[in-house]
Amino acid sequence: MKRRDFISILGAGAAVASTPALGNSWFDSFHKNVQAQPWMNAFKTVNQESFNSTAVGIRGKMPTDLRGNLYRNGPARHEIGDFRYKHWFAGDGMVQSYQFTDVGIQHQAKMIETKKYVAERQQGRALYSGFASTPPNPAPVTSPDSVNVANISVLPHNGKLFALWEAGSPWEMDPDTLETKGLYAYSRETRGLPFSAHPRVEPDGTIWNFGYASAAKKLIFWHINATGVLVKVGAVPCDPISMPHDFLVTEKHIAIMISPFHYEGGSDSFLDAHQWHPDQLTKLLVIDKHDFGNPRWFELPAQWVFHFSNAYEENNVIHFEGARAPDPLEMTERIPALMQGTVDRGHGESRLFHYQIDLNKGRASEVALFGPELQSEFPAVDPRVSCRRHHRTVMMTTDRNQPPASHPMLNAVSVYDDRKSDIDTFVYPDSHMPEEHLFIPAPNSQPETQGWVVGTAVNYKKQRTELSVFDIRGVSDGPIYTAELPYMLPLGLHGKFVQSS
Amino acid sequence: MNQIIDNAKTILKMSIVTAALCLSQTAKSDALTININKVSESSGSIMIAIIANEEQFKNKAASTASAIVPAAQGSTSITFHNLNAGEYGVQVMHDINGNGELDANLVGMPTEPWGFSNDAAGSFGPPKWGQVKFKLASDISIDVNLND
Repeated sequence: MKRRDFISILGAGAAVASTPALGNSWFDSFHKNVQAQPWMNAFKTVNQESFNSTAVGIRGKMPTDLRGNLYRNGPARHEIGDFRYKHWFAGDGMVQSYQFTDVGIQHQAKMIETKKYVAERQQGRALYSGFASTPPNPAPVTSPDSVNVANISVLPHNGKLFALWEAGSPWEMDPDTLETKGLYAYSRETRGLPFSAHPRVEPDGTIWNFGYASAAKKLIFWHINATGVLVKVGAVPCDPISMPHDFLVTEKHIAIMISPFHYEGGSDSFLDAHQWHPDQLTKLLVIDKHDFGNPRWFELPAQWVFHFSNAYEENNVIHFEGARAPDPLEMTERIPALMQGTVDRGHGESRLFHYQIDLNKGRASEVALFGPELQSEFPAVDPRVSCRRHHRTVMMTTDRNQPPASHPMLNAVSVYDDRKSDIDTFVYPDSHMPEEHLFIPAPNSQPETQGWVVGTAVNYKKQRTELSVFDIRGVSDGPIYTAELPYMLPLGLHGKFVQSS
Repeated sequence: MNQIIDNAKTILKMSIVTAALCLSQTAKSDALTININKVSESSGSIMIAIIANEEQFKNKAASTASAIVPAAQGSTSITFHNLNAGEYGVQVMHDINGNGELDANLVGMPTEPWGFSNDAAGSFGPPKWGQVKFKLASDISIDVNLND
């Protein structure tokens, strides 16, 4: 019995512990400020287990060949009793489906019954340290999955549906009823390994993903085939390590950005255990796709990127776009301020950049695609060109040359085509806080030619969540179809669309 | 299926019990029954260690007694006899694949279930001896719920 090993490995996952004593001040601040700033209702907690409705308020006509299911995820329970989380990213996940049918949109949403959510519901109080705050008398966090809130994105794959976090396992959901089935492992050996919320899925259904293990200072890479069978999992040392949220896959390589926002421990909070080093370089790791080997490191100036659009490779040069911010202050400062209503602008400073990693010359470079007036985030491409050459990117934007919105989030959806000199933009009404929008291909069309931009928005003035469909060829013409839920759900994060075959 | 294995049988079968247990002749002897719950599957074996002090808990010394029993989904019980009255702790692991180890994933976290007396748990590490220990002053029965 290797008891020594047992005792030592219990400490191996030390990555998401957080114990700063934050009491009800966030709760008090939110409930005081929400009266004067109604946009804050988009960060109001959900206190019910599920929602189910047929969308109302239909305007326009749903395209006859746009059928399927938009699954979305995001933090929804921000408060338990009078304890409010400090950070948007800490809230318990709620998965939603918007089913596109011949008679309209059928919507359902359910809280994801993670171990944490169930335990806290049973006890009626917040029990565990989260991303950035800790309730009174916290219970021990025995592993990342004991606090896995499954709140970032979804992965529909081979008939299964997963709710994704980034420091732990996927949670398997029933794709029809949205019931939580349980933690999912691709094999016993990979139980509990981090599986990030931004897997790259190739057009044939092959999944590539990564995960970061902060204390172990390792990056994990996953290769899963189209039928959901694990092909390979591997670990690559990464010291110092950051908290990468997204990564890139081309025809031959995998690339990941390690910003100088380093995990250094020494703090009770996971977020606060990271230190920003503006004087240090951002590192880009490139590995071979087929065996996760041949690591090569490249350098760029200090920066922070949550999301990349897509990557491709031409003449041994890797190309991709990312929503580049000069620093991680949006995550460390603005979002906590947003959650208590003490900020007038929450969308930070992220701009779309084009990057190149020249594998022959051994260097990386970057160039801004737009001026500082155009803030961009949530870039998405046609799933048929995933990990291939792409031209069109759908993204959420704000043009600072235009009159500001009365809320602090991005207020428009844009389509950028790298073959054109300008972008096509629809600015939402001032009452709307749009969420991520996706490129949904028209059946039987050539990649990136025909299709729709589909996305949701929180109409905080009317207290409704709305869904909009645009023609990809002209989002500035406005939505061709909108539907309204008879309720408003908290502002969420990411989704995926499963088209009916 | 509950499996009760008394100490005599355990000694014969397991041959892992240490001299400390066999030589415990002088003080009053008590029986300790451990009910191991939340056993996820009937594969492999359950490994149980009885620890008598913090030194042993930190693994600087061999455990006072130990046993390996076949895993049975649900609950499994085992009784250790002839333990001196005093403080003890219990540590349990479920060796599902029977390789004699508590397996870990690529970042070193356990991939097989484990548990301690008092259902003690630490945050990203083992619990402290103070959380694990309990008093044995008469024949008693304790529960250990496995984490999974």
